[in-house]
Amino acid sequence: MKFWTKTLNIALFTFVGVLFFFYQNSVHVSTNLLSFLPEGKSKEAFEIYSHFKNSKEVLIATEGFDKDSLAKIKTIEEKLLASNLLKLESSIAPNAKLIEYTKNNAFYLKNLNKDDSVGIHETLKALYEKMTHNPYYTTIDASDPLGYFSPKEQKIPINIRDGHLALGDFGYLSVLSIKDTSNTIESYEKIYTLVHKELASIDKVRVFSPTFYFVENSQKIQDDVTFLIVLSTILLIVLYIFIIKNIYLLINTIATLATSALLSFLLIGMIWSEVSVFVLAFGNAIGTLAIDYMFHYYFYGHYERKKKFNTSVFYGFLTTFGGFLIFVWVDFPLIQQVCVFAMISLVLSYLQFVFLFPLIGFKKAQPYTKFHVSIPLPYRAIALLSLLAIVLSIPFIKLDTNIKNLDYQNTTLMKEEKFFKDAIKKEGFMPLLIEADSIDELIVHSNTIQKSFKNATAPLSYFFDKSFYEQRKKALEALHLNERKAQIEEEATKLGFRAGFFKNAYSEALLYPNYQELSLEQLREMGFDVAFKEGKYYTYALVKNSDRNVVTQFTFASSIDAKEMFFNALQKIAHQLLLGGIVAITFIVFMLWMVCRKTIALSSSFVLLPTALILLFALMGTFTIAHIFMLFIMMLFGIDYGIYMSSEDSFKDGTRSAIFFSIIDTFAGFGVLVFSDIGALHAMGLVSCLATVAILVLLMGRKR
Amino acid sequence: MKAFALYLLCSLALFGATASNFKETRYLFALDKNVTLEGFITFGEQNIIIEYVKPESKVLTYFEEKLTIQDQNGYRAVDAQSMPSLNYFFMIIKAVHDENSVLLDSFFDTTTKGDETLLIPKGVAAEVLEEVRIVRQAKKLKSLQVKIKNGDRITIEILD
Repeated sequence: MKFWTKTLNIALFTFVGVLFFFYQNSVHVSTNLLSFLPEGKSKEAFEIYSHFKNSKEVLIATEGFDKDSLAKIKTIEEKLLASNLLKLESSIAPNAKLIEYTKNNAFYLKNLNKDDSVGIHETLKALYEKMTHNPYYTTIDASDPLGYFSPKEQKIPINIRDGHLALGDFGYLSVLSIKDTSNTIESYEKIYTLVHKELASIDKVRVFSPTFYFVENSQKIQDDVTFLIVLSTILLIVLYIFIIKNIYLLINTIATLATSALLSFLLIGMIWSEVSVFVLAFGNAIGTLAIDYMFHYYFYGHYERKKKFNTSVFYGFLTTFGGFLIFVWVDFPLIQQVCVFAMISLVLSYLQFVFLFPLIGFKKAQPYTKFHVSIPLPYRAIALLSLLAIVLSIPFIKLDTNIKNLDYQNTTLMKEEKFFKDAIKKEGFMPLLIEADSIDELIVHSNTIQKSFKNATAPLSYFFDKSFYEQRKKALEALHLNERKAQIEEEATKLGFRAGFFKNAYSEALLYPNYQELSLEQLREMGFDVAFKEGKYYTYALVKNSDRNVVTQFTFASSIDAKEMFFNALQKIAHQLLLGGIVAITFIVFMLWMVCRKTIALSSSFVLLPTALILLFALMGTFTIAHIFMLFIMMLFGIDYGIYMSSEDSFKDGTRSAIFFSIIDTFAGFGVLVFSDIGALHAMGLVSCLATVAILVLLMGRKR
Repeated sequence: MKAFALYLLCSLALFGATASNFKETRYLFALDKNVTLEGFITFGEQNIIIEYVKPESKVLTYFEEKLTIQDQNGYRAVDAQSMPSLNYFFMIIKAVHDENSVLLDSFFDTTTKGDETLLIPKGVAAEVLEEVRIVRQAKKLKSLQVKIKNGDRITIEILD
């Protein structure tokens, strides 16, 4: 019986380890922060837009406009196209389908100039003069000799040099799109590897694709999280060896924490189809909170002999668990995942440390050091001053709603993005997703956007809808061009034009083509980005960032902007966060009142001082949702220590050491996050460092 | 102002490069008529300058796909990109002079027999051009004939 009890923990770990080994691949870990934002119209728009080729172009530019540069860009294009993974979008010629459509509908696709003030003779004479006197070779449009039609203006002009697309004054440009529409990280990685492999040996070349962010950031985030987990684990193991001095207990403790983490990971993988990599980093740190329960039981001597139930530890567990439970209702998948992971992990660890470990039994060893520092501290004054600082600082705190500040700051890629956008003159433009019930309506909306914004580019505004067709047809009928054809022929011959040269001018086919409602497939074949989802048609347009506010008046258009999407998401959950915060604070006050009524000043200072320090720090810099979330977590940590310190036993050697080691290990678990390059984890690490320092100072004190 | 600066730049280029005497014959199908022009052509590193002396005195400068015209009326700029035939014409002249085979190969199938090279347009160029014939003498461009799909012909003969 004793043997089975002693090995139960290890057996449990082995069982969970085997489960993890077989099922780990069924849990999809994602590094994309946007995937974990709340569902909503903005997120849906983002998702649809991400399938458009415009959102995942690969831009390559070779420096200079010389023979070598041209040869380079042609070779690159050739090699990349040979892979069959990419499609060239920068061909200076439109595709055959579009050419055919344009030819057939020329009089409806161009601007119509109805000015009839100049007569036929004068107009044809001017054409004749142009052809014979222009110093450069001049051609004329035989289908429109009177010049009624002129091409529409291009808002973002295409720059062509030597028959190739050019990137400003930099050099030749190639624009490629990804054939695979699956939008998976594997697909992006394949393209990334291919492009970088082909460009490795070529100098004076620049490349950018929005998809590179997914690949590079994913790798950087994975490396960062791995580094944090390894660093934290090493620090904690060293610390535990130093503190626990009992290898058998250490092995069991690590097995317990690993069991909790692995099982929590598998369980949240069953709830969500994608698990954020941030949960792993945070989850590892959660273990440091759970180990506090073990410290208290170990240093109290619960594992040596049977003792009565430790209520301080139970209340500590209850408050932390309760805190996570409060925030799990916030409709924000990332926060929910972190909370659920923490709750499962804490429950599993608590059950094992509190109920299983005393059964196994561990002999208490004296730690290498004991925490003896005890200086008189004015806890009441600290609590009151902290409360004052909190009240005064809250009105001045500005919430940073830029999601990019939570993600990995890939400055190298950001520089390349800016370089290309500046050169193509796309910098300062924001994509809009246009929604409609039919393709005809989609074209109407695209034309509305094109006309409403001076600098907009709405690709589908190239086409015309049924109503425009009817109007243009009437306008053309009113010009009576059929009746003028004979006169044109006569005047032209008189002026010296070849007989019959204008016989096809203003033909019936061009003046009155059959209206052809375009299909999704036809538009795609002509190279346009259109999508169909749940009975709605979608396309995109580009508008100036400065027109952002005007866009809101168009109900059919939604802006595709990560910052705005995150801001909307925050607005959506703002009341939930506020409610969660109020409930959490009420819960903290309730716990303080219930458990630490006699030591209210001392215990509350463990919540108030860290909070005040964090808020004061927030006044100096950015304050993101990650800061807020960690602030609440640290308030819950603080109350744990307030509860521990309220115990009459708290000034005993073992208890004091347990509390001291708890905070040191919290620092090793959460504090290492400050070394992260990822905004959200860095913010969490920073907040936990501040809170840890504050709690450590308070732990050194005693009531005067 | 920009055009003037461009003119200055081109004038400086004229001093640095050698000008060739040439004769251009344009057959205009629409008029069934030949138009003949004569002048000097100079290839700069980044530009082509054509100085017509007959029938009228005019200077054309082709620089970065833009054409600048200087005549008795002053300066004016034309975006060559909006006129495909003209754009191809200058692109071919420049590519032939620079011996830019990459550029020529991307728009034409090339066949060379002795001093004569025949370019058959492909892809987008085939929408506008019919064929291009280049004759070189001692590696130097002697004549260039461009047949355009609309029936027009442009022939350039280098006279010295």
